[in-house]
Amino acid sequence: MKTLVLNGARTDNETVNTVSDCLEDSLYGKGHEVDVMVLRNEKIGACLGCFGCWLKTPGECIIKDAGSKLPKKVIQSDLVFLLTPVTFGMYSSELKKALDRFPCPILLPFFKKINGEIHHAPRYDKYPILVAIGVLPNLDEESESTFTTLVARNGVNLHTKAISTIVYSNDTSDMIKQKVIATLSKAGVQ
Amino acid sequence: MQKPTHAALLVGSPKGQSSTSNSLGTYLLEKLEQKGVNSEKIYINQCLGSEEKQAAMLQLVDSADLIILAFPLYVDSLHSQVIKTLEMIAENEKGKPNLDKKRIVAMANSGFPEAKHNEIALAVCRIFAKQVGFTWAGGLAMGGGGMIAGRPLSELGGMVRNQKKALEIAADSLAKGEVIPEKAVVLISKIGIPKWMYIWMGNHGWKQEAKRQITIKELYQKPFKSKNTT
Repeated sequence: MKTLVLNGARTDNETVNTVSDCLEDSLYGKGHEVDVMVLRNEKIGACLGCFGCWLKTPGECIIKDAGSKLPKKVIQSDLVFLLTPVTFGMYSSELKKALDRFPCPILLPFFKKINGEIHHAPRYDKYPILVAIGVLPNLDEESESTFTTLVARNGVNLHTKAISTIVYSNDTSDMIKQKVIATLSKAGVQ
Repeated sequence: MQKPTHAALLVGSPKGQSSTSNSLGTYLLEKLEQKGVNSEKIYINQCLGSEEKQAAMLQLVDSADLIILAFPLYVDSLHSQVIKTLEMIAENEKGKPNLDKKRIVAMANSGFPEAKHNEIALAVCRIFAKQVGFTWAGGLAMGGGGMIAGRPLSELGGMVRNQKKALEIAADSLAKGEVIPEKAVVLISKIGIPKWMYIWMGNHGWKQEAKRQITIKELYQKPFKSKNTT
């Protein structure tokens, strides 16, 4: 299986990096092809909201930087992992700068009704499973529930299954490993 | 309740001045000014490019007692530049006294006809306010942003009557030091044309635009189709 890991840690010494290491070990161990992007080290500009990916170069972002590689990387993956410190209940700005750059190119501008709500129609017939692992300093039910809902909504908008897991900064390495293994199992990774 | 004296509008759209967020935020700001609240406006996308402008933005937030965050919905939440700004504000305000004297309002808009898509984005702003210590003064969520498309609300007619009325009600309450009333929340969520018509206009509009720039067939291209995808 092809797997893309987007690491949205803002600094080098965050639990997100421990999660990433643990995830990579598990995925390599299972024979996956893994592509890891540490987003803070990548030159990725903010989405301009220009709709060039719909009307000028359909399916491709017109900003030429590391972010323009994302639509291809995402659509050709079986699994996409979003690793992030949970920031006010959502993704970090590092992760979000990448996440803003691929949904429009891989979707169509047209509206489609899903479960009674309007969303963008799919461009492709198959999308990778989305797996988000968020790190919180400690138990925070409001942030946790907002994060979980956000990931589920991303799944609906991206026409795919979406899974979320919360890791706490004071979790031991063993606990993080167990959570990563359980998450992979939920995603159907053998 | 303390009446505000200085409102700061932070426009969080990458389209800046030509955005629907600017249209909505500016209309609210104008109504607050009419009620004697001094106001200033900045565009987040113009501030993040230089340290000097970032400092000016943080200084503006520091000096305001009413902060208005107006932004478009991006992938079910806030655009990266808006979340970056919230991260910076949180860091800058840490440990400062009387943070609860600052009130914050969030206004989210999206191109989908339903306002409920914005619920998570408003929840994120509410959590931000709580974590930083600001007082949450309410959130407004609007769908059907394509009806405004960056034009000043004052130049638009009956299609946006609910949005104008909602912002007038919100300004009235905010100027008195109160929170945004439920009536404004409900009104702004109601788009001025039937949902089916908005959807038809949106889909038709993309096809017309495609005909001008490419072709309708090209619009459906799948440049990264592989063995995994069809």
